[in-house]
Amino acid sequence: MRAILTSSLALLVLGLWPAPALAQTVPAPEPAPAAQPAAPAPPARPSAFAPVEEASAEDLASVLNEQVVSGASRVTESIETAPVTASTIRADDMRKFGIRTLGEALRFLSVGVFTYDGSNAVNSVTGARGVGINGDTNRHFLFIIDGNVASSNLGTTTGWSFGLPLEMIDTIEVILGPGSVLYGGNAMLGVINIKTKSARHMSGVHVYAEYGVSPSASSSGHFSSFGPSGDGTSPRGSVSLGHAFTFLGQDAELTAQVEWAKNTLANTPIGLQTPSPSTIPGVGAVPQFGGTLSNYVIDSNTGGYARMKVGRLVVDGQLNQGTQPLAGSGAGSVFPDGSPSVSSAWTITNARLDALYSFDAGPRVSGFIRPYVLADKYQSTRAGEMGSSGCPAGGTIGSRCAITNDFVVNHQGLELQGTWDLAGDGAWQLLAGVDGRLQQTGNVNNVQDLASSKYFAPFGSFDAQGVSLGGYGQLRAQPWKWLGINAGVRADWYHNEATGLSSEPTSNPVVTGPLPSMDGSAVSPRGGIVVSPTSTTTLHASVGRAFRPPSALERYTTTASVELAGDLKPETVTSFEAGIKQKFGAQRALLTGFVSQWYDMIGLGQGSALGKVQFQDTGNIQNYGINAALEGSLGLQRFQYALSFTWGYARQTTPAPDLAGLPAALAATAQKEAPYAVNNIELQGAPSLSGNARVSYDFQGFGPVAALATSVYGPTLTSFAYTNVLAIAQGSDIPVFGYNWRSNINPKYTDPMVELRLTLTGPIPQMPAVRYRLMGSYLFSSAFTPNGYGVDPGGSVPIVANVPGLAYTPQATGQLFPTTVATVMAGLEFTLDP
Amino acid sequence: MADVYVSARNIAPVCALVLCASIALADTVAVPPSLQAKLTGKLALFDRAFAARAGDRAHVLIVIRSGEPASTRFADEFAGALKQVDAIGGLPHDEATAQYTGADSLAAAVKAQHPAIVYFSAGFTNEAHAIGAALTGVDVLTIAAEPDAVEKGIVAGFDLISNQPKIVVNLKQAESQKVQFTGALLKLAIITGG
Repeated sequence: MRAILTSSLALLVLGLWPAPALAQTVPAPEPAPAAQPAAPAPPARPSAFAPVEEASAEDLASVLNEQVVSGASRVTESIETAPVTASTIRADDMRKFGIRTLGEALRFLSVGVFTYDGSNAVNSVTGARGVGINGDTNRHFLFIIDGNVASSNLGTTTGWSFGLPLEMIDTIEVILGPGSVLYGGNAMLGVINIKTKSARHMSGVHVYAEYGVSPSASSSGHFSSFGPSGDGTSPRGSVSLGHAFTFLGQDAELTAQVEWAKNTLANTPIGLQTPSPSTIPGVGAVPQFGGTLSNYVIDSNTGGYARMKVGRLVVDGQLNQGTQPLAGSGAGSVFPDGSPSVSSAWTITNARLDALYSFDAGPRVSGFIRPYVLADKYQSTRAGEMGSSGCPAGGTIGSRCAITNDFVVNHQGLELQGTWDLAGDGAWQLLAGVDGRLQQTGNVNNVQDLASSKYFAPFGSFDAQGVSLGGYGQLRAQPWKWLGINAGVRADWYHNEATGLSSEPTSNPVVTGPLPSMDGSAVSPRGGIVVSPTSTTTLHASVGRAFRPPSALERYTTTASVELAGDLKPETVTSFEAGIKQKFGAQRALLTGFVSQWYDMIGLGQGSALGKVQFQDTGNIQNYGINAALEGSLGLQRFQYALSFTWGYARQTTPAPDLAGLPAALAATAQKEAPYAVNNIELQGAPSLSGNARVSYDFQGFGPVAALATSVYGPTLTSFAYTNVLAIAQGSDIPVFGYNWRSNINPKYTDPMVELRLTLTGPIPQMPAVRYRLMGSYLFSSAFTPNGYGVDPGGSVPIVANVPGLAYTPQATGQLFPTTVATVMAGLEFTLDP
Repeated sequence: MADVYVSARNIAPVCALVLCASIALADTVAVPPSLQAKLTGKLALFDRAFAARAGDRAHVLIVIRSGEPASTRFADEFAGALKQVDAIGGLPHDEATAQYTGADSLAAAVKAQHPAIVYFSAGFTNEAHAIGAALTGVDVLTIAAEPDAVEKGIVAGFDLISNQPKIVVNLKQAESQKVQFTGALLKLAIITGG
């Protein structure tokens, strides 16, 4: 059987893999020699056979520096032989470098990834290799926890509201490039594979208490001073448990952690803003807003994660809630307070329950069955000015309305996977699986007139039911010591049906009706090759494709201005990369070049009539660049360092504009200004240059572990930079989709963002069960987000195209949303380990 | 006594199409076999007694837990990976696999055949205490695929912490089996056991 298999496979690829002789019958022992006088001691062995200490120690340290990954091919393998660019973020490094959130871990410790939290954790963006989609809430990365998908159509945050306490994390694998071949949708930029610790690595009870303080910012956004009031605070408390035991005769273990955390922005001056338009017909003047924003919570979390293993069965679950009040005192109607009965806030609730049962079907076949359920809910409540787009015009003039939104995503699924060791020695492995899922998505908006308490019927709401099915296969082969091959493909199909809830804004009756179904499919292949000409050098190349299906929100959302989308195709990306990984003793270097082409990007474009927009295909993205990284250790790992650098060129091209539905005068003006439009437009908020660096030294009993890390982003395009709005005259601001003109508002780019973090960790002297962590962090930039907050303090200036020949192009300076500039933090960890 | 050990290839235990609800081995081995083989080759360099024990050639006995497909599978992959390792402790090497039928039988076989290294595939954590007791006083380096087995009586093993391999050493067991690890290794290893 084995010879037939081997020769058959050789016909398909290259040569024969010689069958190793694995087992031999143990020979009978030699008969004992006759008793003889004790022989003289043998001569000393030549030095070539004696253990060589220090030189071999560095060589051993080099092997111990090797990393493994399990998310690239869903098989544990050396990072050197994976046909992708991957980096691992270790628990020890997260503690050592003062990391507090998943976003910070990616920013300071990964290769090729950039991330920022924006004005709050909900709006976080994670990009890679120069590509980031502002506002996508991380839907172009796939997040996995212990093999279970943690991403949903709701999006994923990377702050504390992600819900997985950091001390439970053993490793974060960051795998760049298309990952749909094994995981399905959303893995376009890559896969972030998080593995939690086993009980032996977090045994006992650990209590964590940390408190961070961030000083107020000056009017320019820079560090001002600490206290006595107005500082931002970031307290966090957490308790973890790890325990191994025996249950029903099986080895078992339980790990769990609960956490409470809250991050409040320091008092931040917001320049006086005048909304545009400044008056609303039938309502009156819209009040200015601005002042000092205080008590503004940007991230919070209450919840936890638990995992239990009994024999072959693993069950894990997560339940957490993050809340952010949308009202900060002192900022007026920027974050308007509702009536006393309405508090503006958003809340994210995540709940997951997953199980995995692994099995063996013979010495060469293994696999698992994985049932899973997920329920994510986003709730927001906010107050709006009557007559604004958020409030129906039929409400009480002069009052406000309360707008509530509930967005729910539930899915239930089952995955089956098997792995077949074809030749019995690990050299040829075939992996195959199927993954089926049911999904329910609902979005309900309600509007209440606060003066009359009258409810207006929901608008733009829907209830969608869907099913998706994926089948995948992968062959990993190492026919020779120096050659590795990885080839796989996955086919996905999805179907959604929805019912819409809608009515006229001034009526109460609700009209329901079927909405068009959403169907689609995608094929995601990937092929890779790894060549190891020496024991220290590997060359890899891979090409792959990934996709993201349209979300139910994109397909079914309707508002007063957003029309029902048409038939949306999934977004796809095809990417090629080639790289070299080189080891120099305990040091390792990486250099990778990549090219990717993105298709059918979904965004808002021109609707059926002026003033209407619609989710549709908004163009393609071209991207290429390089990743480079170097890391290593000296002095038997006492001194450790790493640095990474990414340059990524990314430009988006949009479809040609359709001027047919525009008024004649506007269409003529648009045609006249067309030569000034930029077609290959940079991506907002995606730095083409990014990198990080870190060093640490372990004084080993003579002092703490001292660690210094830095994250650097080059200038990024702001939301002010380009606009599709033409203003023929003052007050006639009309978007012309398909054109991108440089706007009348500065800044077009953020400053370069350099963040420096110094951390000291270690045990408290004479108290080995208590460890401390001291961290200080400073951001050398006035802002850390490309998102504009407001325009022209004290004035009223719309964002319009700045092109020759238009009579109305006022100039102004906008404000980018402020962020935390400096933080100092102190924390203690108490260990109770029976 | 030697015939209590038979070739794993001759009686390969097969669970066929039945889901094997036996001891869960899938997640107890942390470090992949290729990396374990590489580390085994280097680990022996740090045992001062290895050269004298091995002679001109390092014999490695790979022990498989009977009736456990995962144990057989891991042993096969480890043996395949070990063949790619140029030297163990600086010496040429060969491997043999054997089924486990008891600690005393194992000790007798080790005393008779003098392997330089006995490597325990997946599934021996619960047997490690008995194995350690049986091999006390026997000159052999024992290595376990599972890190938990080291604490219970195997001299050395491999764990994976944050995707990086770690060497785990039971110093007390090492001394009882005449294994003399150098200080350089012990600085890099996790010390466990009594």
